[in-house]
Amino acid sequence: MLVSLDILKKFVDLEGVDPKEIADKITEHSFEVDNCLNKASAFSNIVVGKISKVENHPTADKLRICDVVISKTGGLLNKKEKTVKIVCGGTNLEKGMFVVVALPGSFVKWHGEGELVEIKETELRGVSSYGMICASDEIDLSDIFPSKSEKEIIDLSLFKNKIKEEIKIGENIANLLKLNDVSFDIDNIAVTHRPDLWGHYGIARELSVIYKKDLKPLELDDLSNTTHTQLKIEILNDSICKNYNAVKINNIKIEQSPEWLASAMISTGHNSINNIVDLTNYIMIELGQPLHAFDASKISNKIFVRDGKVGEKIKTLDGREVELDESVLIISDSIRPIGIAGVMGGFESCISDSTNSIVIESANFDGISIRKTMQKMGIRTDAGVRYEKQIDPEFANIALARFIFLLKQICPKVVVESVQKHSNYNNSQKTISISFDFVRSRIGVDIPNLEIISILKKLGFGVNEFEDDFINVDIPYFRNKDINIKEDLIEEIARIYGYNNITPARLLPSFDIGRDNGLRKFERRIKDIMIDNGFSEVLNYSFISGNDQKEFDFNDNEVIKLLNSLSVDQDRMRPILAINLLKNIKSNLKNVDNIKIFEIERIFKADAVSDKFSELPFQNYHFSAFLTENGNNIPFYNLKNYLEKIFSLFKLDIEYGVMDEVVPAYCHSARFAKIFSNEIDVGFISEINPMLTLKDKIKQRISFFEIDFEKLYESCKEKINYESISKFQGSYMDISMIINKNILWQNIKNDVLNISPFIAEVELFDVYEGENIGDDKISLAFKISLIDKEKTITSTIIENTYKNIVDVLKNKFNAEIRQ
Amino acid sequence: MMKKLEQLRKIATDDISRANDSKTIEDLEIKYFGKKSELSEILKSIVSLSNDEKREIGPAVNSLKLELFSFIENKKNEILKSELEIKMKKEYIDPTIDLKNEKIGHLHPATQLRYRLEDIFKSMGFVIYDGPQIETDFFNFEALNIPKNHPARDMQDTFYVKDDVVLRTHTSNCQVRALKELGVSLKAVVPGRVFRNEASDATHEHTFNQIECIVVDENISIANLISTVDGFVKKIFGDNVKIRLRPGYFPFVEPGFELDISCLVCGGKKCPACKHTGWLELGGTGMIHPNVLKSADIDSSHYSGFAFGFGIDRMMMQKYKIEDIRWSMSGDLRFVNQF
Repeated sequence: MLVSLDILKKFVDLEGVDPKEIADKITEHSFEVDNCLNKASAFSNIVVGKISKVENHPTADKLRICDVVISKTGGLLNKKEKTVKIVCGGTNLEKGMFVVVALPGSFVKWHGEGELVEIKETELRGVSSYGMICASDEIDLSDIFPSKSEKEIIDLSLFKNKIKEEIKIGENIANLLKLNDVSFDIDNIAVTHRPDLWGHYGIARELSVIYKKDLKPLELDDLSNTTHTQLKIEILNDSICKNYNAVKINNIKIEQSPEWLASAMISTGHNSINNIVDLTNYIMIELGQPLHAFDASKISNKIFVRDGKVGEKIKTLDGREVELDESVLIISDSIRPIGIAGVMGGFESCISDSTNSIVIESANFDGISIRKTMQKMGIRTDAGVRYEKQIDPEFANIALARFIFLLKQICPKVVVESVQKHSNYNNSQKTISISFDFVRSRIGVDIPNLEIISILKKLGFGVNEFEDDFINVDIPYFRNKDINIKEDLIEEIARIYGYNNITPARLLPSFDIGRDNGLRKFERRIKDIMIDNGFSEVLNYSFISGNDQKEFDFNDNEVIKLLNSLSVDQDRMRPILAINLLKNIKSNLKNVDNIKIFEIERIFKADAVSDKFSELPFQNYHFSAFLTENGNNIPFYNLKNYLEKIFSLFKLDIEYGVMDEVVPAYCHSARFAKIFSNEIDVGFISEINPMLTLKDKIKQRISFFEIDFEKLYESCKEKINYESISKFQGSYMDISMIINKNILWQNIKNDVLNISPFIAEVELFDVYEGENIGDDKISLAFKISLIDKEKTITSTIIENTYKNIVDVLKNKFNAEIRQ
Repeated sequence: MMKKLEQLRKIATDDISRANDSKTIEDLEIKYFGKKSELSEILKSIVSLSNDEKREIGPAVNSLKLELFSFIENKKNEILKSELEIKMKKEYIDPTIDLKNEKIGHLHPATQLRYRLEDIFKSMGFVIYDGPQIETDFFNFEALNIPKNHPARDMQDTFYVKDDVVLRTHTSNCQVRALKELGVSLKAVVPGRVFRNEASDATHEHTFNQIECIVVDENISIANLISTVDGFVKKIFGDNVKIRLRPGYFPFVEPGFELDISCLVCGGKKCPACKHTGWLELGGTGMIHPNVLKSADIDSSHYSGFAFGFGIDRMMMQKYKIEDIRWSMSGDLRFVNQF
């Protein structure tokens, strides 16, 4: 939204104040001003020139050398011209053309992008150039001079309709285009809660408070001098149409707008169309109240406001055919729809050059209904957006009186018929009681009573003191929407007082240091361990595609789909971290061979519910890591080793499930183990099924694990059973054996540990497979530590234990013991 | 006899002094201190001497023995040292050679920054709270004073899972959750991942990290808010950094503020980084709206509070001058391994 300083100045005296300061003050006290557009200063040293000669550039095919006349003084006989040479790449250069010349010292946007660049006298491929001939986007005039291509420069003579006066060589462009106003650029979001600020008058009121000036009253027509009317209105849905005023006005003459009106349109980013259309738009930007003008000769004498019907259609002002239904509120005459209420008028009843009588509609429609209609039609109009902000119904009455007042000034001969009105809204006075102490305690500053009262009154509130400490604050109609509770008044007082005038006050010191979040702490420790072990942390999107889902063989009932996704590549939630981590592996393998990465984030499941957040889908944190190394054919063991460091640090009681487990399709079917921590299933470790990397021509083996991080945390008691250290010497023995491959080391180890109370530890130190021992065999060598806590371990115990171990290995596991 | 001793001292000292390798010194040790050495012989012969002679010769022999022993020990050490020195010289290595067998991993910069923020808030007495990323419409919108069809919903393009289940658009979804779970007085921060349904570009991501800070207690004022925010900003950005509050609209606070910090590049002198304003937008803040407290069953006539939230990723971009935010979630190690 663009706000014109000239319009603001009609209501509050801001003479001599720097526009930039005004923007800063509004930002400080009211709402954010994005930008202060001062065209007059932006166009300094940018003038009208006339091309008197065009030549080819000797060394550059795409450049021309132009002689451009940039000033012309003196009389008929004594002509003085200043001509300069400018090198230009424009595609439409011609002798005699009136162009826009940026002279040295001016600022332009290079190719219409980025920061402003200062123009200097320069050489282009050996030819000196005095300035630049501009294309419209280089000087931010694309709105006024639309161009077909970037290389097309502005040909001023083609825009006679925009330039009312004779084009004078050397004239400043801002003067030529009457761009002497300053516009403030405001993001609509900044005022979304304040319907009164969607009009200049509301902003002028803010400025009058900030600058402690008077706000000039709006001049209104008293609507007394009207004639009889045939026009009738019937409001069939007055829960949505809360206020409706219609008036027929005759003796209209459609003309170009007077200069002040046309200039107001340009400053606020509208096209100037004609006096009537411009004036309705002007009222909208002045007060925030949309008006609509119908050509009275093209509609019947009766206007209905009603729900649309299925089967009805309307061609709207933008030329679209819109199909209607009962969810859309429409304006119709006795025959057909003539407008979509609050959004856009109909094409057939619109104002044309031959219009001589009009019906003006000044109405209020429910914001939610208008919002839905706009969403349904897929458009947003200036009018609709203002209704959506829930402008007060009272504005419709004021806007009509204001329109007629201004209309009589630009078309003095108009005859106004009597106004037809229907309203259904509560206009009783809203009052909020608030105590001075409450104001002071919530702001935290000792603002005097008088200052509080003064701020509120200047903002348009009525203030009545009724007890020592209390005031009753009457809410004016224009703040009915956004001022509802005491806290809203706190804001009004504090922002005008100035947030930056408030002295900071420390919170009362609290003696408890922030409690630890156990899971977060666990996360940090795990991440530190991973980093120490050479794993880098990656963060991936929470989304996957349908293809990913298929590739990893997840069912539709397991995966949460978005109702509105950005793209098919990201239209569902990841059920495991591994899907995106595998993509990371694939892309990083283009740069490096050896990769160790991990991620800890939430995953999402459609077929389970969250145990922490009731009514929501399962969304625990998962922990996944990937490892791949050039030449390492079983990276599984390397990865498992890192994982076991974590298990041992946190004293987790881990069992691997191998035999009876269902292996997910994306895993290597024979390199897979489920992980049970304290008998809770927390996840698995495996290798990526080579099928998934085949088409990427990746031959490296990729090991990975996927663990439910929260379950792992819960299973982690980290209990330490300290045992006193034995004073006696222990002993070690090494055993080497060959067994069948399908026997799990985990089972051997558990059985060996159970053989004798003197066995403290069993640790594998060598694994060998090879043809010489047989394909189905594996050689394992392990060290057994023996300790007797009571005395130095005897050779008898050592020998007996060895014998028992060998017996178990031979008998239970069919092992061949090697000497 | 004394003469003999004096002779022995002279010969032995000369011999030892001349030795310059460990073999020679070992031989000399045997020669002068071995069982068959002259000194041993003299000691053995003392028995046959008269008492007077014993009294004279005994101490002289002992003294000579100690003297020669210490002399040879010193010489031995000297030789050992110089021999080792020669050996070490031969063991020269190039200390600048690096064999990167074991590399260190890297923590994602967003995580690093999150840890830093968590630590600062923890030191200020805040609890770290966490909530769901797939969230009910109630906690993400309704409870925050954003009813259905409220225009403010346009401010946040939302991903929907079901009509009333969304991907949280902000960590503010935890305001009411934290108040309900932990009660008042509350000082909590919520860091985490949030989602907006908008196309990504160099400075916008549909997925990013926020941190929300919530304080609710008796008599909390705007002045408390300013003090807390200022304290935090100075801790993270440095003591020279100033803050500015200006009016801003968020339905779940009243009054609401936009929070700016003085430009980290120019310090407020105005430069391209701050679009010539001297200020950078950090995030939104405000006094918690009574309707939000009501959603958490907290009596707003007794309690008040403030909340503020901002994006961790934008801070990360500023801190490391990252030109395109999309690297952050690319999984590309050329990005992560720089931090």
